[in-house]
Amino acid sequence: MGRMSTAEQRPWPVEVQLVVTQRSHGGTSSRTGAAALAMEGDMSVRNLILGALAAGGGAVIARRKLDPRRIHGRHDDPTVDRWHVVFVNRPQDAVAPDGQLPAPLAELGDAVEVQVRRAAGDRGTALAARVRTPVPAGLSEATTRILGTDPRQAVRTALRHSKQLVETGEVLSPDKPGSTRLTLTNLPLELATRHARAEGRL
Amino acid sequence: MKALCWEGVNEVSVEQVPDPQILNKQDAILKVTLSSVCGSDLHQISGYIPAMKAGDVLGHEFMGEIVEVGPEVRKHKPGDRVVVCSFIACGRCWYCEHELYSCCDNSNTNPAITESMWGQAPGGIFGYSHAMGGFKGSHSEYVRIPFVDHTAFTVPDGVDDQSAVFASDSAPTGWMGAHLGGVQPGDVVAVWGCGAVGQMAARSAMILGAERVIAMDRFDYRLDMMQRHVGAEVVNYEKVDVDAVLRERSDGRGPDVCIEAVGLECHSPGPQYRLEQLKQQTRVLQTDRGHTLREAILACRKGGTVFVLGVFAGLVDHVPMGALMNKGLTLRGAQQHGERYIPMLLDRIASGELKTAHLATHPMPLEQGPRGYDLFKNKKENCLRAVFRPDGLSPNGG
Ligand SMILES: NC(=O)c1ccc[n+]([C@@H]2O[C@H](COP(=O)([O-])OP(=O)(O)OC[C@H]3O[C@@H](n4cnc5c(N)ncnc54)[C@H](O)[C@@H]3O)[C@@H](O)[C@H]2O)c1
Ligand SMILES: [Zn+2]
Ligand SMILES: [Zn+2]
Repeated sequence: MGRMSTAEQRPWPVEVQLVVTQRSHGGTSSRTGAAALAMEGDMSVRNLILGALAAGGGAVIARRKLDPRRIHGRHDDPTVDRWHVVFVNRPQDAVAPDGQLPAPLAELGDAVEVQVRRAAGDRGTALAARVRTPVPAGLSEATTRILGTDPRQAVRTALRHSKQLVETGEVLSPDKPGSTRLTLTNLPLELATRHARAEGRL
Repeated sequence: MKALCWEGVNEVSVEQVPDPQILNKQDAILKVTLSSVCGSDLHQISGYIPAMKAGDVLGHEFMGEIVEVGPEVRKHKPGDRVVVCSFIACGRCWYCEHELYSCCDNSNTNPAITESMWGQAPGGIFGYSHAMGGFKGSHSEYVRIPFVDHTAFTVPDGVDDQSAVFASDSAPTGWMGAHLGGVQPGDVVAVWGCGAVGQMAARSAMILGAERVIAMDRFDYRLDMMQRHVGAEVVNYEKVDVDAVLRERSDGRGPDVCIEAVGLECHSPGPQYRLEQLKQQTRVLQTDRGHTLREAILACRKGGTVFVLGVFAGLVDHVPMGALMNKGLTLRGAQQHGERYIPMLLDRIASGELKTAHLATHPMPLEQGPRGYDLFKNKKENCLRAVFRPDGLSPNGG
């Protein structure tokens, strides 16, 4: 089972909060993917999706060069994972009864650090996790993300699954069996949907 | 089973696809009785929402009979005659609890795409591209309904199919525009677009007490319908100066609430239309055409509200932010929060206060789907909405 620190035992570190709001991954250069579209003039919207997902690593690199608000210090190290957070519309004791984490997160064991705390404004519970060990950066990030082996992808999926389990009792399955055919033009989209819950800005 | 599929830009056809299955304990399988086209399908069909794969089943405005339920379905049972909200909602996340159902956190199984494009992922929709969950649409004999207890609503006995089906999408969308646009008794409301969404928005504004509702389009048959079935004043925007007409009819003030019910493929009079189209086709200079949005912002009275019901996907050029800011406007938009409104709308349909059956100008068997989309997209034969019957029977069960 993954180790857990509650808000009481371990206050939410201020520098981590800054990292969460200012250094988000997910592959686009500002709050919306739309901005990336304007920047990367040769990209169609379809490519934007690919750009945002499959080749997200590249876009992240570009962002690091561009973003003047970068924070310096330990957490600026791209191999140190930031916190990934979902808010769950249930009280803390429903999210982690007796300190027992939801199964998808528990399954990641010691690979991740997890926090369960009250969400601001009593909007249920913030469930946060980050990878303990160094995470891929630069070119290796781009490759691992496409291959689906970037450890952050497992964290995102586990967080999304945990939230769904706690809120609705099950994880919603994508529609199967499919009716679509693989074509050259939908290849990027195919890649994007393959990592559907593992990617994004979470 | 047979289903109407997207095959590529401007290409749809009826194909054989695998039957749906119960995949979650809260799922149901619905036998579709009626499934309507919607303006949103056109944006997918034309490739402006570029997250479709060849073979995707279209359709999201529909009703039918439940034939199978998962073990944790409580409210519904086989045999129920239901209308299904186009947006899938879990009913229990923070957004659902706050009646922002189309923002449901748990119904989009592909959150990465929209999260990357828009910052956050909206909920899932039937037949509305992989960006919105990749769920199969309703233009088929059967469809899987996730979270059925929250997404489907029993149709009262007094309401016929042809009226009930529009409680799925166009009626709640129109209602939301008037309701969340804050229409008050005595207001002057302007509506861009006389499609089903515009008509429902205009009617809703009247029910909420608007004193004057002025609706715009360029197709006379749609303006006629708006006048005849809804009772709104109509304006052919190709023949008049829209801003001047709205100003005059709102006593020089500008409409209190402006409802945009056209979306990213809007047409504009004059030569700039070709330029807008060209820019949009590059997908770089702009992804969405913004004429109606601009017109609404410029026409709206000081301190008024512009509500965007028409679908936009990405970037709009030349949004008059100066007008928005200096006039103190509220700009709001949403995919429809149908779960909030459907039972109430079904009651209003039952009482005769809200008329919807006239929207189904072209009922036809599902096999004729490609023809239905041709009529609807190109506004031929006075088509407002083509409505498909998967059982192959001719209109109205005959
Ligand atoms: N927000 C939601 O949840 C939701 C739900 C359903 C539909 N929609 C969107 O609402 C819009 C309308 O849907 P619909 O089914 O009524 O489509 P529709 O195609 O039947 O109607 C659109 C109408 O807009 C008119 N129009 C085009 N340019 C115009 C202009 N410059 N001024 C005034 N009218 C103009 C067209 O002539 C047409 O009659 C679409 O963008 C659709 O995607 C949104
Ligand atoms: Zn629709
Ligand atoms: Zn929800």
